[in-house]
Amino acid sequence: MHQWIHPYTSLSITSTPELVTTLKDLQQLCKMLPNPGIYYFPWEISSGPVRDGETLRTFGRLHCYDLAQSEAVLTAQCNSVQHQVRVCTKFVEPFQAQLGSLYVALGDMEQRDGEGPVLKARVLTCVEGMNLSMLEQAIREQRKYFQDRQGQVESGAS
Amino acid sequence: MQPESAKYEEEMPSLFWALDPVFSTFARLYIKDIKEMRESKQVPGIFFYNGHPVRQVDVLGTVVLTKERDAFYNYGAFATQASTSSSLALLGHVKKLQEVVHQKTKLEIGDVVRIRGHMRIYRGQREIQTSTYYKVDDPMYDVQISRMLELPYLYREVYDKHFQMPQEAQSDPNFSMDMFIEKVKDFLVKNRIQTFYPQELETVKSLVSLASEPAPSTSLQQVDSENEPRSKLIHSAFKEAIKVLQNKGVIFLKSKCSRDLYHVTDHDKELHRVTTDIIKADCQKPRHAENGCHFLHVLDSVRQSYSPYLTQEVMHRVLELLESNSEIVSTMERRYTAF
Repeated sequence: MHQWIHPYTSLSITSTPELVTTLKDLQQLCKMLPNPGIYYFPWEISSGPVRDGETLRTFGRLHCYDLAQSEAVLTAQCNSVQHQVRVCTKFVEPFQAQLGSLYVALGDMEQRDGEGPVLKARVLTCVEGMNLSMLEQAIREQRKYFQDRQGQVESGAS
Repeated sequence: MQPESAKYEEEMPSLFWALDPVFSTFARLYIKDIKEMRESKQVPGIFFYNGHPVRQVDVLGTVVLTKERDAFYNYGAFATQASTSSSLALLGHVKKLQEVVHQKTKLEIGDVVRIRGHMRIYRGQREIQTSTYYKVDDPMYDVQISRMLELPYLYREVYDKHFQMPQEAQSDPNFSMDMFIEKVKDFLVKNRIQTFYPQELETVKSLVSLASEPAPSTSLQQVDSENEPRSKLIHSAFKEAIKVLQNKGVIFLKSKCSRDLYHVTDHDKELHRVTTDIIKADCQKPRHAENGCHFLHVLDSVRQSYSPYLTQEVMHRVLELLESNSEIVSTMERRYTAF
């Protein structure tokens, strides 16, 4: 028998289902909640300030997709230089690969020996039609705000 | 140098929370801040961001984790008994509707969702108890981009600005004259006091402690308190309260001779009796029989019989009291009669 979802759902940011009975279960579940994904520009990923295991969001155009290897490459341009980000698509398959379209990826960085950084995507969304420069501006605005705030905290604490 | 945060370690008293617009809105905060907000010591379930009391939040985010629940709430009723052909058609229609609803409400990882709800702590974890949520259709990312641009602005203009309490509240954050007057009135009423001298009132410990509450915050007031001794401040507080209560008709001076003896309107039995007698007697007269006695006539008569200094406010209060005790009846606007 089909059942409908009641709109008054308790959708928690840290989801705690009612079936959890032991503290251990709860701790287990808390560990499962992934870290928030900070926005990085694609050129920042390839140049390396990103640490292994870090969760991040980035974007780019789908340059190529190897179904057999479960790997895609996103590209983005900065100052007439093309930057590439390798994305492992194992967790987001199957997805409709539209070559040349813009995508936003959210996932965890993995440093592979001799291969360089790869983003293990948990979310890969096609956003063709997105205003790329607006996204870049929004990311900068957000960063500026956090930097200012951090600066205020630090000067206040001195 | 004292860090700014220390200034606001002291929580704003809950009495003033409704004055802060952030309290009434669904605050658009970063999840990071939602998780780090301090819970109120006064009322659990209310949280503070930069001195602003936050009750509800509005969040736009991406689903990164879902947990299947075995039990869902059923909503909508099914038609049961019907003829075969029409029930099939109905069932088909209902199934289709179900699918559409399901599609629109079931959330998957990667979905962008807009949530509104209030904060709570459940089993030690911060949660948003959702009152509304919907899946956001954002194929070109503009909803998320708008949100990213909006939030720094909101923070700078609203959330990161310290809440400025309006002037009247700000001058007496702990001591409120209105509250004090109310307390004095309560004291007189509850203790069925008929008459009192102001000096007697100033000996009442509970009222004095209220009047002597410290910390006026404006610099002007600070100067005053430095020059005036505490007792003088208390005395002027009582004086002010008595003046206000007199203007409102709660208390009155019967005669100018015993200058300091105040009567409490609600408990002055003689005044009530005089008023009722006047109305009863005058309603028999042909002049007032049909419509009842006019307020001003009653006031005049009571002034002649009881006290020439009786104010309109006191008269009003007496007449309201008598009417609520069903001793007199108001026939028309400002007219009274008795049986």
